[in-house]
Amino acid sequence: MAKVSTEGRLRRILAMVPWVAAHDGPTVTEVCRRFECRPHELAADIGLLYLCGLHPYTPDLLIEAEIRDARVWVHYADYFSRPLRLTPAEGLGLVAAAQTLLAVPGTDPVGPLARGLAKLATSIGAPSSVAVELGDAEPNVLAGLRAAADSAQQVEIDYLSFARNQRSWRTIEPAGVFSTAGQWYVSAWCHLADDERVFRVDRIAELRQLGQARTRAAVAAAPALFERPAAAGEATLRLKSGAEWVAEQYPVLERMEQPDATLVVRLGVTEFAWLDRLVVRLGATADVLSAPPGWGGAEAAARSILSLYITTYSG
Amino acid sequence: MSRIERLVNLTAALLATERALTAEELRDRVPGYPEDKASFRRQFERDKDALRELGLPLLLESQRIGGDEQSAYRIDPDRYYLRDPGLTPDELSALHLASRMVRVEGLSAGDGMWKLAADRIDALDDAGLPGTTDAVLPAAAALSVIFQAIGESREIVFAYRGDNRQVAPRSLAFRAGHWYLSAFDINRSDERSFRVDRIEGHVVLGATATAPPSPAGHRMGHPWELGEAPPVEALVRIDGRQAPWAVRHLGPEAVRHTHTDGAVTVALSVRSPDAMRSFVLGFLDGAVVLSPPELRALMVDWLSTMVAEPSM
Repeated sequence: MAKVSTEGRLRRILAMVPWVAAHDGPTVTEVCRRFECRPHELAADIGLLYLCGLHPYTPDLLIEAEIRDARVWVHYADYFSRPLRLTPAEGLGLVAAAQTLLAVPGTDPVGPLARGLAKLATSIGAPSSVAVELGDAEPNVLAGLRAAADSAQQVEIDYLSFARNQRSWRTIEPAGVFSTAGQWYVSAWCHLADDERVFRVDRIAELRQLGQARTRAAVAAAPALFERPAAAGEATLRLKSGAEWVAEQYPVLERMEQPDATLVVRLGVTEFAWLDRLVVRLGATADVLSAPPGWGGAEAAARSILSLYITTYSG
Repeated sequence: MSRIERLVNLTAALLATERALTAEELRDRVPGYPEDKASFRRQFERDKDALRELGLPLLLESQRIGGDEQSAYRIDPDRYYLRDPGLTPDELSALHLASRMVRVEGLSAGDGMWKLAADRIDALDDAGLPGTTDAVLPAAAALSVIFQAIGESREIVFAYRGDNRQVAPRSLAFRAGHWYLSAFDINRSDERSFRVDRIEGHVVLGATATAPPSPAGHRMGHPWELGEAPPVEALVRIDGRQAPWAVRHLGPEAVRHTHTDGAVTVALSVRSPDAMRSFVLGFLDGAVVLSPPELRALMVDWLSTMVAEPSM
């Protein structure tokens, strides 16, 4: 380990003393782990503090610091013991966490969390500086899914499948509701698919409680998303300038940087409509190098959209 | 006497004092400085630099000693210690719960909790709290620096899409899976939004700067609302199948007309036609741009290249 500079050591001491003082005799192991030092370095710091204090350095003005029974104690150093102000990372971590929980539909918007957050954000000079949206979700749909998951009941949902470009009623047995990557999801056993499925809550237009207990043991409450088998096969796309977002937005199976600055990616395809949508959006900014067997290309989809522009009048 | 010991005593003296202390007073109170005046000055300057380097808020004040004006020093307690936000026990518990249920990658919400609890550390009992994380927000390297700049009302400079931007940051928003920065762009004299993960390289903290009062109703935009072009209103018809989702996503205020078959006509404020095209095409044959003609033409041109017969 590299030798810590004098400044680095002072920084560690100033950060460590308030934490030790706030905790009731933390162990040497805890302190070393938290402040990333070795036991002999900690012992040297404590030995040093023991010699420090305020003018004229009479015993009552010296810091009392010791390691006893493998625990660390610091007393009589109020000026070093009071908590330091939050670092930007600590402040942001707390404000973002509170704001996120407030964004969960059903959280009391004027309760203790909201009041605590307002006080905290104001005290660090950044009131209303962080906003968090966890995704569109109808509070009563979200609440209905949660209630069904908690009570192991079935519900019927009017669901828009983007992958298949179809909307239909289906019966599901919700297991868990969670938010990730800016969207709310419910994991469930789906009667229509006769399999586990993850549904986006914002694409549920309507929800009905069926008053029937679920038939299956609960599936995973928050399964890893996008790990569904690529049911329809795989596609390989060459992404040109302007199409790089695909590699950011979708989990790619393989990415191959090309000498001509394009990017070739291999993607799992669950439904043909999903690939249609992607290829139509990409237009000339991407080439389809390979596609799942049976996929007829995006031309039919493009033609069908184009026909809307021939039959609709503007306005 | 080692230099580290002198620095600890110097910091203690500067923190514990009621009034600012002159260099001579500090030499009397802090052991370990040389007697020689010139070498004392040199070492004292070096120690002050070290404290500033650590970010300690060293205040320089003028003190009248006898008939002389002399420089005097102290550490500003308001900027060094935590300003107690005065949390009640239930507010503290609620924040603690939030710090356990939500995780921002790369940041630990729990790190700061003990400072807020301080002498009430026992209140941070994890027993009875859910062990699971309800939500995980992705990290972006620049978040902490931007947040610091907001808290200290300072401008920041960074590279974005090949341009250097100098902005007074207003707020951070997590939306649709990404962090966005809302800021007043100083060189462009206008409000701008930036995707934080697309900031290139480091964010540099600059001078004190305050954004002008936020324009009324300013909010984080959809992708097609971000851009440099003047906004154009596009009317888009979305069929009944996809209408409920679209209305939830765009907000009811975007709806201009609800048709008898359940379809809706929505208005989009478009600064980035490419982003609008991408959004509308996401509906496949479930959405059509009704106006203006130039945006309809953009859609038709784009789609035509995909259905044209090969020319060779």
